[in-house]
Formats: sequence, C-alpha cells, structure tokens
Amino acid sequence: MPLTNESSDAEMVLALRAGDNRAFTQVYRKGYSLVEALITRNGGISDDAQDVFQEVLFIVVKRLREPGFSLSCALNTYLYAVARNIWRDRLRGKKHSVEFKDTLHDFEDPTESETNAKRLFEQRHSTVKTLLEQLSEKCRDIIMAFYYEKKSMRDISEATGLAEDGIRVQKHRCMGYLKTKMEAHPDFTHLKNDEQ
Amino acid sequence: MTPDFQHIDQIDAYLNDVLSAGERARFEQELANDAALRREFELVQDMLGGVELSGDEALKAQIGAAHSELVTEGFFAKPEAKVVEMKPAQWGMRRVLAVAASLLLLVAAGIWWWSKSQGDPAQQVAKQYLYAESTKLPTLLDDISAPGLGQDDRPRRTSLADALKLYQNKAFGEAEKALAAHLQTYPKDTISQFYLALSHLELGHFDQAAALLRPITPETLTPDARSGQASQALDFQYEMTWYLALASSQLPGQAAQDSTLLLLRKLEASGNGEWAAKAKEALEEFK
Repeated sequence: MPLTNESSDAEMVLALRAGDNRAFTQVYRKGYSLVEALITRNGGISDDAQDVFQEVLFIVVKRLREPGFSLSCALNTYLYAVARNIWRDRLRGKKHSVEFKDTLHDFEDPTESETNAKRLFEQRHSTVKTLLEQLSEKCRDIIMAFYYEKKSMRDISEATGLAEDGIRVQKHRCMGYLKTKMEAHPDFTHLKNDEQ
Repeated sequence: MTPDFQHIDQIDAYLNDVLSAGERARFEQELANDAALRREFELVQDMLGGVELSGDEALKAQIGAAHSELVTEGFFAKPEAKVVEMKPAQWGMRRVLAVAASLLLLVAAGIWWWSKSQGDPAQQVAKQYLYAESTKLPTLLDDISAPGLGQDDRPRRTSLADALKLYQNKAFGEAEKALAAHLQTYPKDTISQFYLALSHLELGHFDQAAALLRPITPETLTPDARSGQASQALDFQYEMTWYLALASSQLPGQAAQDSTLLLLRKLEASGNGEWAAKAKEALEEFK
C-alpha cells in the first residue's frame, strides 16, 4: 500500500522497520516542519534543523527496530521528543565548551593499551563489514535482516516467501561462510593473538 | 577451527536476552569453562559489530538519499517573492497601479493563507502533545470488566467497556459515536464524557472537546460543584486539566490561549510530580 500524507503512524512504522525508501521521505513531510520550528525557535537555523532531523530519523528507526519496542505516542511526538533532546544536548555542548577546558584535568587520558584495544576493536568491525560485502546478496540480506533489522525468522520468511526452516538453514550456512572468512583473515588471527 | 558456528542459536538467545535466569547462568558458566565456546562467542560479537557498522552506514545513506531527494524537490526551500520586472516607460500609470494592487492583494492573501495553515505557534506546540490517553485505560477496562462486581450495573459497564475499547484501538470516529450513545443513556457517567471529549480531540473537534471537558474538570469548578462530583472525576483530575488545556490551545481567541496557560500553571502547581513536570515542559514550549 503506497504511503501518503494520510498514512497512519502504524503504517509508517511498519514501512520504516521494513526499510521502505518512501517511508523516509514521508516522515520528513509529516514531521520535519515541527522539528524545524522547534530548532529555529531555540537559536538554530534551517541547516541545523536538517542536520538534527537526519540524526533523529537515524535514532528513531533504530529504536523502532528494537525487539519488543512499541511506540506509545504519535510518531511526530516521538520525533519531536528525540529532536528536543538532541538540540538541548547540542546547545549545552556549545554553552559548556569553555568549561570543558577547565575540567579536562579531571579525566585521565586513556592508556596506550586502551587506545590500542579500541583501535583493534574498530578495525575488526570494519573488516567484518568488508567480509560481509563479499558474501552473496542473499546471505547478506538474511544476516542483516536477522542481526541488524532484528527481524524474527517468521518476518524474514514472510518477506522472502521462503519457509522458516529454510531461512534458518540458510542463515546457519551464511554464518558459516562468514566465520570461515573471518578466521582466514590475517587481521583476525593477528588481532586475536595481540589481545591474548 | 570448524566451518560452522556450533553454538549460534544458544549465543543468539543469550545476546537477545531470551534465556531464563537459570539458562543464562548455565550459559555464562559454560562460557567461562569452554574455550571453544568463548572463541565462538567473541567471533559472534565481532561479527555483530561489523553488522552494526554496515547497517548503520546503509541506514545513514538511506536517510541521506531521502534528504537529497527532498532538497532536489525544493522541500526545504523558503518561498521567495517573485521579482516582477516592470518597464514603467512602456506602461501607463494606471496599469502600474493595477499590477501593484494585484500584487498587494496576492501577498495579503498569501499571508492570510499561510497564517491560517500554520496556525498559532501555541497551537503548533500543543499539537505535539495530542495523543490518545493510554495510561489509565487498561486498568480502567480491567476494573469495568472485572467479574463478580455490580452485576446489576452490568449493561452500563458492558456498554462503556465496548466504547472504550474502540477508543483504545484508536477507532476514534466509532468511539465517539459509541461514547455519545452511552452518555445519552447514562448522562452522569463522567468517564464516558471524558473519553468522548478525548475522541473529539483526536478527531480535531476541539470546541466540542473543550465543551465536554469544562463541566467535569475539577480545576474549572467551584468548590461546591467540585465536592458534588463523582470520585471518578477526581481520579482523572490531572488528565482532565491537561486535555482541557490542549483543547483550549486549539481554539481561536486570546481568552482560549489564556485559559490554556492558566490550566497548565495550575497543573504545574498541583504537586503531582509527573503532571507538574509535563505542564512545566509544555509551558516552556509555549514561551
């Protein structure tokens, strides 16, 4: 069913969860003016509003995809509340930027090993991302649907038209491919040894 | 190294927090003792980190694409006044005046239309709070539907529960009809009057919502009238004040806006932490 200005919040939420491109533009049409009004009334300009709205949409979509999350208010109210928090944080950040200089000594610099661990951690994630791109589209879709979009086997089965058991077997197989690639990757074996 | 994840279902269940406390403890024990499981668990965590990174980038790209599409469409562009190039030498004074007058009329009509479509800033602010009451409704429905109590009152309770379920399911048009019918049969039923007002509010009938809320909202009544109210009204006093404030904020005229602010200030001073905070926040937004 195509989304329109009259689409209900439930339809919009379903479409956002499913990653429907039209849902994203539709959310802008329905909620952007409210967020822009909030930001321009509170010391921001239209560019800030556009920037904040992208961040809002990112947070809201991720939240909507969390298992068990159910929207208990209107979608626009939720967008507005997230935007307000982001904008308040940004304003506080600006306001306190001078004080940060005075309080820097309160925080110890991360140790070299902590910095190194973080770097290795990020590098491993980046490697997995690259390895994921080497999988077949079907494998990538199943892994992303299950682990990123947090869809159940049943939802994936309905979306793909494949039997739930078939999806489960396919997911195991794809994970096996990914595991083989991860274990064969020099970054991984060396990084694992670095940590030990 | 084995080609497949041997414990993936168990690890998924653990990370998705669907194990019982006992299963969770057993899994953690195994994790501490079984090096192969621990290695697999770490691999899955790394894999999830990569999936998250990949998904986040794709989501950001999708949002960016939507933004770009709207930029191209001119969605964010501010309306600009059209520059009309006139060559007075070729135009008679009368024609120049006629064009100027037409432009003025167009601008005035544009401002009128814009202000009408935008509404008052207070109305815009209030709209963000307009969502269906869902906090008290489940308990209320449980109470009304509880078996063994007030069997003589059963028709009233059944009729009210049916109407409230429509409201709960956000079928506001049908809820409005059912609650109005219920209220006609039981004119002293404060709860149905309250939810009838909320149905009107959801349907954008702000004047009707305010008219229904005013006579039952304790904050708007004289002390005598308040003491004669059903205890049900007092159970909902903060909700009534809040929704009456919202309904008033959508009505035209300074008096309605003053009434909104007055009700919110009363709610702010009510001493009820949750409602006072909500009213305070709304008042800040109104400023």
